[in-house]
Amino acid sequence: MSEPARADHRPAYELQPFPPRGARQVELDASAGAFLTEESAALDEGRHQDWLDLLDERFLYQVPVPLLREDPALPRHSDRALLFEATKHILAMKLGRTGLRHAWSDRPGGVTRHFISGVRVFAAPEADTWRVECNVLASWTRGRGEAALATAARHDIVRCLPGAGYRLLRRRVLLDTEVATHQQLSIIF
Amino acid sequence: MAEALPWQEVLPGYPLDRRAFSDDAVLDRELRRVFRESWQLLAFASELPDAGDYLVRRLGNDSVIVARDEQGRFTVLLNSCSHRGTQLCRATFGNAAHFRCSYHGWTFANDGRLVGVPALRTNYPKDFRKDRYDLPRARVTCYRGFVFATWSESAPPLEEYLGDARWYLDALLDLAGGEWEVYGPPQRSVTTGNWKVVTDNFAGDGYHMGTTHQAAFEQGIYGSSLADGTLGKGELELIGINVPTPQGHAVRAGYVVEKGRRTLPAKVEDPAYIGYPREVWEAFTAGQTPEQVRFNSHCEVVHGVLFPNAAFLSVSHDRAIGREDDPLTKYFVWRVHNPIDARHTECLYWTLVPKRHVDEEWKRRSYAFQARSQSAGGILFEMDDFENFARIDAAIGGTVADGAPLDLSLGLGLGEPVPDFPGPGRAEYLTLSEQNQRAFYRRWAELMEGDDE
Repeated sequence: MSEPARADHRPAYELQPFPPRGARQVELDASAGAFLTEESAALDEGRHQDWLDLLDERFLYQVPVPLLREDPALPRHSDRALLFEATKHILAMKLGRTGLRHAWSDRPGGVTRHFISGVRVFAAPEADTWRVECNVLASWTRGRGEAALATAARHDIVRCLPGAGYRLLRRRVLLDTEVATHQQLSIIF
Repeated sequence: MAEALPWQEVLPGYPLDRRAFSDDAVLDRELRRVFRESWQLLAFASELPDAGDYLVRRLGNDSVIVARDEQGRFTVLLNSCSHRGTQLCRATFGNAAHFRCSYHGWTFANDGRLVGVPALRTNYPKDFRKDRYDLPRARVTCYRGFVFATWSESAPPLEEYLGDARWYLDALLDLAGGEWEVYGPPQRSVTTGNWKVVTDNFAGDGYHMGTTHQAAFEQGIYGSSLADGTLGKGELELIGINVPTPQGHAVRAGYVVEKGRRTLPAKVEDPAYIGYPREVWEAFTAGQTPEQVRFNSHCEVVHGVLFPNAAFLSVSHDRAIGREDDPLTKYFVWRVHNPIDARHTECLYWTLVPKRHVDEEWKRRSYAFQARSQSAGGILFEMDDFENFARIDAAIGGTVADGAPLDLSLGLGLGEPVPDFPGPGRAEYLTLSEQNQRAFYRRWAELMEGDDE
């Protein structure tokens, strides 16, 4: 499906704070949850182009640096520092590595599983977009001894296109561990 | 062991074999003889702007509190109560004038003095002296915003410890107006592999680029656009210069030169600072000595190690990991590699950005390019580097593997001295060489050698 051409949103788009929660949209929980299930399946089954097709052209993926602070009331993740950031183009390159003979960390490839729960939809400021929050338990396994588990809160901004279902506009992954291993960080959440 | 290989003749008596990457007994010795006796990079002053700010970091295998006290001085304190040894700070950072132990309430000022002991007057002997229980303090020196510390009382002052590496550190900082700040809290991750494996890669390993990062080249993440992006289309190539030091520090710099040229020009007519906006080049030049200009101009990549476990890298990316109109943009990342055990390493990454000359958009892009390519979750360097460090770890520790040799002879005896190189030390041309790694391991072996007292 071809997307309409968009204006360049940098830097404002990347610097924009993640859109806040609006009113709860309980009636959308089931359809958003079904979308996230299909989306995770595309990742876990290695159907990379199917997954990329679910991303808006200006999709931005961010994993903020977790913060361990004395006061539990303060934010647990940095609003400035990132463990990883990717655009759709970068994710296409990352997933495209499985087709390259010399992409060592992807050959042999690992297997991921996404376990998604607690899907809740909220209104978002921009028209036709929603904020979808869920819990993720993700695993990565390769061979006999290499395995990683990671839990995270996931905040997505999705757009609903008429007749075409949801597309992902933004994804923020809030890892629960303060210091992740490189195997945990290899997972696309 | 088999007879000594040629490169081993440059090492003192302590053997570098595969057990050095897997054996906890070797790590125990390193912690006592290398880490305890060396200055280590712990933090940056810009992480602690206000009195009372503190961070929890590791100095060797000890948890320490890096604090800015009420007088604005940096202190590095053992993060362990003098009463029962309880960890005083569990959070990784914060602001506090005092640290109160969660077990019995002993309280320490943020300069390490024991200032409060519950029931002191009623239940402790009359000759109890609080000042005998102050927190152990490490020696601290803040050099140009870099906070270093050591437990050693006999280590030379930091500036002497840095030796020739100090000139290179100054040159890298003076490039962009002299003042830098950390962009956000540092990234941290845990990798499989010995701390030396991770560190020697930064000392001078240009050799792994073509293989480890072959996929990155194939994807165009790193290629001809680098030189063309800033210096215009032309027949250009990269030459590498290695500067090892007796202290184990090392610098490797890659310069863009006209194709076929095998040396750096003696005089820089039009200084170019690859990856920085053209509009600031003149100001950059004005803030440096002529020697610093010769070192920094046309430098496409520079990386190195401050012995034992700090590493740095400055390199550029462009639209390949940004947007179509993104200019070639440099990032400058500093790291430390702390051993968790002999086979696991915690990496901290700080991306520095100039305080002056560049705007917030440039700083954000510089940081984003580091986060996208070289952070632990990034797609370019780290994934395949970590994969190889883990593959080393997976293949050592076996009965036969531990007796099989390693090699460090790349470029041995082949480097040509660089005439009139602007910086101190024996700078040699040789793009592919393990000269710097040999200097790193030579210093390591010197410290490891000898009987324990």
